[in-house]
Amino acid sequence: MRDAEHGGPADRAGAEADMAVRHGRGRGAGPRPAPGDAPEAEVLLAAALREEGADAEGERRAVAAFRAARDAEPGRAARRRRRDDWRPRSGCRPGRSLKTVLSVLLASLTLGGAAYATMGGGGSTAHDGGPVRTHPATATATATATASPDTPASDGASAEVPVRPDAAPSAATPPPARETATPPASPDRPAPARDTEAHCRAYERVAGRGGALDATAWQRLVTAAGGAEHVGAHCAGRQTRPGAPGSPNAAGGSTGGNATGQMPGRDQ
Amino acid sequence: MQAHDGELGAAVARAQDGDEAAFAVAYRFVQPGLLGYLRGLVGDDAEDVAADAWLEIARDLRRFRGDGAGFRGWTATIARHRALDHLRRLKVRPRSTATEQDVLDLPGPHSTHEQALETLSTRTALDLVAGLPRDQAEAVLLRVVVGLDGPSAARVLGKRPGAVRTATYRGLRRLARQLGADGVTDDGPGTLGEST
Repeated sequence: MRDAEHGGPADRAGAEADMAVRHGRGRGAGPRPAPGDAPEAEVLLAAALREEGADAEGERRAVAAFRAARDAEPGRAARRRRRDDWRPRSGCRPGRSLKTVLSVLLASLTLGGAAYATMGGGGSTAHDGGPVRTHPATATATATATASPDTPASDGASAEVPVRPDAAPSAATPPPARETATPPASPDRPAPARDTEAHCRAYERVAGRGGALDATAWQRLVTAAGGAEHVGAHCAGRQTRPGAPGSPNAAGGSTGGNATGQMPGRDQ
Repeated sequence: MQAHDGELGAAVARAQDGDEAAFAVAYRFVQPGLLGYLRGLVGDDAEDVAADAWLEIARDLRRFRGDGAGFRGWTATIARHRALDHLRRLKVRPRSTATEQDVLDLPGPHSTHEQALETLSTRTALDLVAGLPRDQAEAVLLRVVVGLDGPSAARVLGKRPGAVRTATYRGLRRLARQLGADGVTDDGPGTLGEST
């Protein structure tokens, strides 16, 4: 009776019967794999738990309730509720999946933008100098100041690279980062004079050799000297100053700055 | 049971227009699964709870919108709410429908695999299901007995479809182990003790 009334499980039961026979034969081989068992269990449970058969009393009461409800409110004034809407959602699924795709895309863009802003923030702080963002800038200055006396030509490149490893730690612990980053900056960089001397020495080495002179440091040097043609004189004036360790050699090495270079030397 | 969803949907539509005989047809389609589900939730009180549920179904039938499969889900939701109300009144959790004696009456090591296959009684099946964790038991009942698909069962239970799918799979796998003679011998006491 059950099978006749409910074709779905009955059909599946036919297919599962073979499986059950196979399982019965192979039972001695030990624990059987679960995937083959689940449908079998389904059929058994459905057959055992679905309570078929005449339930005349329950049906009579249900129909009586139906009749009473129908007669009580003949109109269709019943308010629609969301929980009563069980229409298939097939029409809505593409919309929902499109919405999902869009929200995932938006989330990835947001996260990516935040990550990019974090990375790019270190580079931009050297210029805007906000209250919090000064730490990477001072760290950059420290790195540049220590590097410039030896390798001044790499000045322009070193201004960008060391920023990024320092950006995250300084953002995580702002107060210690400021206090540790700032004091080394001042002893390494006592005055702009040493920078200028270093730039002058390097200027002589690379003068006339092209692109290196476009770097910002050189621009500053040229600006400070008052023009490209005055750099020699400017540097000579600096390097012949007493107190600079290598000033005699540097002054002797500079060919164009000799005549004017002696003037400040005599003054002092 | 899904094969009849077309007929069920047509009967429901006619019943919504006031056809009394069509409502009786829908009742006959839905009641066996609904009663089995309620049997797993409230045990021997299933008939009473089902009667309550049908009163509400008859009253709210005009509000329902959907096809035959949707009607199964809608009625299962109503039945579940009535069952939970009933349990709240009793201050008894559904777990307790499987008493200690029921657990002891489970098929033991002596029952062979063939016997389990042929003679899985309603009582035994109910005890096996009652031995599952609550979420797995309900998911298995909704799928196997009521005949709902995954999303509908998830809506009835108010859970995510993925969680219900996992619960169904685990529950069925566990039941399958217990239904096999080897499984009952090896895993029976451990799994049942774990779930109580």
